[in-house]
Amino acid sequence: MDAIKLFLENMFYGINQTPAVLRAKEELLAMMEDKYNELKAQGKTENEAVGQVISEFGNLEELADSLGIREDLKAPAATATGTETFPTLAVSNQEAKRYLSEKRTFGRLISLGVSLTVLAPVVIILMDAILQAKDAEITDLAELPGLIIFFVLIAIAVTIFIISGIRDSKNNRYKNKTILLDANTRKEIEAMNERETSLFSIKIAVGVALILLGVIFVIIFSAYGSVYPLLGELAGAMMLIFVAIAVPLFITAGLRKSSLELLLNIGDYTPEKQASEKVIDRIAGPYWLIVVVAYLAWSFVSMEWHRTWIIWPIAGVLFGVIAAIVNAVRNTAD
Amino acid sequence: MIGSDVIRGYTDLMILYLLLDEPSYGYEISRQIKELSDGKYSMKETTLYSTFTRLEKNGYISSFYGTETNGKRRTYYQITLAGLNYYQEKVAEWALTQDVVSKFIREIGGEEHGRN
Repeated sequence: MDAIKLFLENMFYGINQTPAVLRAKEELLAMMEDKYNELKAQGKTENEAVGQVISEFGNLEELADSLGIREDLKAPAATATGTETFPTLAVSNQEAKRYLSEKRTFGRLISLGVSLTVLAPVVIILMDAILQAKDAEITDLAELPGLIIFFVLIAIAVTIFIISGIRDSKNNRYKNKTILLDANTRKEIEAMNERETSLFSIKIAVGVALILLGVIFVIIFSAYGSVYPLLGELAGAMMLIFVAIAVPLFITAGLRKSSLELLLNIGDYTPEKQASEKVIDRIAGPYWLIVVVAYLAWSFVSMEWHRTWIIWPIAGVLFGVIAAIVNAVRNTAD
Repeated sequence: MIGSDVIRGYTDLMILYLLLDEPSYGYEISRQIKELSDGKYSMKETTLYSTFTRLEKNGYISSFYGTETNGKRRTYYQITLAGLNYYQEKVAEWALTQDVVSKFIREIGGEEHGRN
């Protein structure tokens, strides 16, 4: 009880004891004592009761005008709020779920497109192999069906890329934002992210294993290539098939991870990281265009489809290196 | 817990409501507010007292000393006629406020969110 009186005296320390102030003190003390007594009657300990009474007292600021003590109270310095680099965007539970499911569909479509692109040359390689096996003369006319299928597959893939890209563009509004989620939604998505972390490693590991398996096949097939020329021809096709199976794993795993991280503004989706992503985004477009042109030019000039696919893994690794350099430069620049 | 900014305009209304039927005193009013709001709102002592002084200054309530059975002297508050009129004004104001604000309530976001 004395603790409450002492608290109140401290609150009013240095304030002119006008009749209004004295009356306020008296009234406040009465209310606090009543509350204290009731809390004690409810079985609270001395400390708990005093603690609660003090914590629910409020702020003398509220009384400043009615008691004419504003001058006596020193205005506390305004606290600066943390600055956010990106504008905030409130996202409801429904919107978050829809975003995630749309990104999943997007990932599947892109995977399909990439797999079709990777598999397209396989058709040409197989046609060549069949023609060679039959000892048939390789003429332009004989290669035509393979080429037609190749272009149809590429055309389907490009169509998929364009349509899914347009459909996905509306989700750009979530980029470069500080995403605001309600507590439950955040918890839910954090749980999803938790589950995804282990799943992500598994998918990537399986993908890498598939590609290594493909490389092993290439080595074995090439080794027997001198004995059986057909196997040497098919080595490239085998590699591409393994890549076509592995790449969707990378794409879907990566997209799932990135869409979860974007909603939570973590990992690669903190405002700072997203700024460096922008630079990489600008490089990516022209870069891959050049790679595609180089691939098609080399392939058509040399007609060595079974060899030219090597551009893709090289270009992929090179892009990773460029992205790493951009990040390193940005980090040192900061 | 409700932010004090939101509810500040309606502390008058809450206290006057509790004085409609009979005079009451500080802690009793504070207890009833907590109880009626199912514990969702608890008025700080300073808020309560500053509301009392404002209402009294405006002539909406008047105070008198009463004595409890245990001999303790208490300040009781009772509503005045001006207070009753003011209460009715606040009720009408709340109805209007609620009507207007409710027009701006919906699920966050949406397809045509507009910010991009």
